[in-house]
Amino acid sequence: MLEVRSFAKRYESRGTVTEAVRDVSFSVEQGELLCVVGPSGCGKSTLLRSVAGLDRPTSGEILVNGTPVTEPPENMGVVFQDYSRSLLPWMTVSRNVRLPLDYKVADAGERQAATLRALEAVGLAGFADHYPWQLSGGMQQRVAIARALAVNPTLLLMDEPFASVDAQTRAELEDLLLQVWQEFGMTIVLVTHDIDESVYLGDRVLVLSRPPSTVATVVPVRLPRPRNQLDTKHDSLFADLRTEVLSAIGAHGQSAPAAH
Amino acid sequence: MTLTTNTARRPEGTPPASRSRRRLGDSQVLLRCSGIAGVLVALELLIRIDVIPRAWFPPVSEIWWRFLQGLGTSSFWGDLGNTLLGWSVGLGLATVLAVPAGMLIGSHPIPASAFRAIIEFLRPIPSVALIPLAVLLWGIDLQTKLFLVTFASFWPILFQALYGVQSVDPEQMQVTRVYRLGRWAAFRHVVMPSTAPYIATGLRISSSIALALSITAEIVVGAPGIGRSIMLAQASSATTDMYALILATGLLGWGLNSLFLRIEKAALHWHPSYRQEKR
Repeated sequence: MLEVRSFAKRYESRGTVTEAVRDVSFSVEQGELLCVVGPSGCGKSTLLRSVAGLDRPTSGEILVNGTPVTEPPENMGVVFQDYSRSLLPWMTVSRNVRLPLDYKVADAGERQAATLRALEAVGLAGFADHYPWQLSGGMQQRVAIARALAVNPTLLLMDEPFASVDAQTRAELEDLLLQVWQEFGMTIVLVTHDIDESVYLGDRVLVLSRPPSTVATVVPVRLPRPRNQLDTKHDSLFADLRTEVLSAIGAHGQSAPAAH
Repeated sequence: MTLTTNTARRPEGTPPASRSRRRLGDSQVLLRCSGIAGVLVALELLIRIDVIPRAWFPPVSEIWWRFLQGLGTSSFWGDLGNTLLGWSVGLGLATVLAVPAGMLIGSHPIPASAFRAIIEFLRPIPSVALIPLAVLLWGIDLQTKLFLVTFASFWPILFQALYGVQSVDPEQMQVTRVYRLGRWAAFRHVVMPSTAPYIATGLRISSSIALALSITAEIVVGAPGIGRSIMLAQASSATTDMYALILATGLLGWGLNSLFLRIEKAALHWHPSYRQEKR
């Protein structure tokens, strides 16, 4: 479904070259939920932006369904970290969700139905006529998720989607994500800095090293589904996996050569 | 006749802070009215007991009475119409020219720097300095008035549009890219709405400037309108008439400004400075 081959990213400014990502390769299966973690500055967001077609790798290749990504691929949904900036304040909740459909789906009834279905999936059907700024942070991020769902994406990219909400809301949104993932069955790549979150959500956790980043390790998460906050997080396997991811970040963080 | 045509040196950015413009409480309204009434009564008294010479300043009540009488004459409404014609057509022209120009210049770094020198040269020219030129070209016709009004009200709108475009949130633009909406949709749904508050502020600033220039043209050039009638009243020592007309211009300016504020508030209800709390 998604294939990243020898992804590398270097920035050049005033003669100095900063090597952010050296060599990252991985692939994601159809319908899989992959979490990407790594120390700050490891280029995980850059990687996601490149998959989204918003950024270009310095070298390497990204394929979505076998097609190289040169612009944002079709049937992709993206949820950014900062909901307060990604939603348009001059549009109501339903208008925000419907906007991508207006340029994609010809039939008005179909657009309306898809909008409603997406809002129902995130539990916001009753807030269609509100403006995003009338809602709480967690609800606003639900709107952003609904907007992504409405286009019926085969690939959903999420860049630290729950980093700006409180712990309680974060847990709710995590469960909401698992639920819509079941319902819509798309492939998800989620970048996070929260190790618990990556283990709780993911089928696998891709751990990046400190920059210049490489793949430190890939941890398969064999926790049973459906997962829930209480049981899953008390599973001894959860603790083991958590430790595994943490030590992978730590170990590769220490030994990584200085960026140049 | 001091005119400040370059009020908009820097963008005001957002519409006026509305926290203070919330609905006033009854007691505040009362306080305001009593303030105005107090000043008027004091003025009236000072004139009645000859502290202020009557020859320069007739009693407020007489001015007010004359103003009300004027409302019944066709000449007043003719003057008002002429002044408003200059104001509206000039402001309209300035808007039509300045909004696209500002957005075009602001949307790209290359035109922004290319036009900077020209703008920096033209903008500081006080419009009144162009009166002789305009008279030379168009005489004392409406065109002269329109030219002056348009020139003066062009700049605030231009700058507001320019800064408005530059303030568009890149994150919102990214959303349009991610969902493959295309350039037109990005312009219509993101660029235009984000720039609108800036343009609205520019319009409101320019509205006052346009009125000032309209009346200036009438006073200096003698184009028909309230300004010319003020001049005529003064020349024929009809002091009360003169003050009544000045009062009319004041009320006109205030009315237009409130009108623009009202439009801004309705159109930009989503903007942080106008938001109503959750129901």
